This record gives sequence, C-alpha cells and structure tokens, in this order.
Amino acid sequence: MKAFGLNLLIATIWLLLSQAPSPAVFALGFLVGFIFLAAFRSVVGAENYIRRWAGLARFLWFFTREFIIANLNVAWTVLFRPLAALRPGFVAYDVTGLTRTEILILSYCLTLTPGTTTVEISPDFRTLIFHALDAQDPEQLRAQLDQKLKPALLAFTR
Amino acid sequence: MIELLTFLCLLLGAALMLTAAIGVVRLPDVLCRSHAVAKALTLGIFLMLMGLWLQLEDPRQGLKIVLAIFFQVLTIPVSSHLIGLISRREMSPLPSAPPSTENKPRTIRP
Repeated sequence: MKAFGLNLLIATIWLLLSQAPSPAVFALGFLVGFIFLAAFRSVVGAENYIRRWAGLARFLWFFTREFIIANLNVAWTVLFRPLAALRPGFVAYDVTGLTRTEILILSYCLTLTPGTTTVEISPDFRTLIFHALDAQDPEQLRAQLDQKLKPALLAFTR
Repeated sequence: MIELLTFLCLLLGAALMLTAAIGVVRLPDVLCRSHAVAKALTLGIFLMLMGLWLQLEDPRQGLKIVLAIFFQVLTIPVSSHLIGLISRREMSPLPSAPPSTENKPRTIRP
C-alpha cells in the first residue's frame, strides 16, 4: 500500500512538472514511477508490490489467452460438433480458504474460460458449482483449475 | 490501415454474435446455451466497440467506449450466472441439496 502511494506520488509530480498535463502524461509518470520502484525495490521495501503487479500482468496474459481459446471452442462446438457428443453436467469445486473477492474473480473467469460457466456459489462460500460442456471427468476439470487458474489468481490477490 | 483494422474488428465481432445466436438455437438446454452466449457475446461486443473506437475522429472520446466495454464485460457473465442459477433451481427442487457431480442433468424444455 505504501509502495502504491509512492508510485502515485511520483506520477503526480511527473504530471505537475510536464508542459501539457493530460491523462497520458499521468500514465507515463506512473510507468516511470513503477520502473523506479522496481529498480530500487529492496531499498524502498516494494518487493511485494512489484510481485503483485507482475502477478496481475501474468494473470491478464493467461486469462486473455484462455478467453480467446474459449471463443474458438464455442464457435467450433456450435457450428461443427455433433450434439450427441456433448456430455454436459455439473461439477462442484471446493473454494474453502478463498476470500469473497477471490471467489468473485474466479467465478467470472470460469464463465469466460473454455467449457465452463459458473452456476452457483453456496451460501457459506465453500463450494462453487459450475456447468461444463464436457463433464465426463470432473476430477480432471478440478485438477486443471487447481493447477492453472487458481495459482494465477492467487499470485496477484495475495 | 485503420480502415482494415476496423473492418476486421466489426467482421469478427459480428461473426461471434452470429455464433452466439446459432448456439442459442442449436444447443440442447438452457445451461449449454448460456455457454455460447456468455463467451461469444462478450468478445463480440468487445470487438464491435473496438471497431467503433478506431473510427472516432477524436481518440479521447474513446474513454466512453472503455466504459461501455467495462460495463458489458462486467454484466454479461453475471446474467449468464443468474440464468444458470435459476435453471438449476428449477431442476432440483431442494436448494439445500448437496452439490451433485453426476454427469447428466435433466434437460429443460426450451
């Protein structure tokens, strides 16, 4: 949090020093401040801050790729796949230990990644039920979530 | 160059929305249909609005388009979630029943 304040401060100073202030100049100042903080992260104690930004960048990259794959997948399913080959079904996924915000982001990503849509979150925030187009192997779906989406998510929320 | 990019964005976006529409007609039940709508419609609207942004004379006007994209991407998955939730409730009369992992949900008549 302190590092984020410092980054904003550098961006504001950059804005005030510029000839023609504009949002683009502020963004540039923020970037310059970020590079500064990344270079001196052990001195100003910004390791965690830098790590979370890197986590967010990696998460966005991962998510964008999955999102595009999901769209190709949907197009293929809708246009070419015989409907008899679909094995739709519900899969329960254990989300114990995640905060509400994390569950929210996870449910969004589930809806927008290939083959799954979020259907229900239990009232005690412990299980998330999603619907999959191919639910023949629920274990594999859960393992995939555990290995890919969850670590990518936790890398920037924690 | 910008013309070509706009053309590509609009064409892809329209194709994705068409895919979503075909999916709604073709897929067997409500939950499967929401797969098509949630994914294809989100990216479709995103691409259409990007195409519009490229055609604007003043790029700063694009901030409104960013807002529009933001709200669309924010609300489409939620609506898909709610449709899924309601159709699941309709299927299982006990809302507090333990989550099932069986493979075949009963289909809902369209």
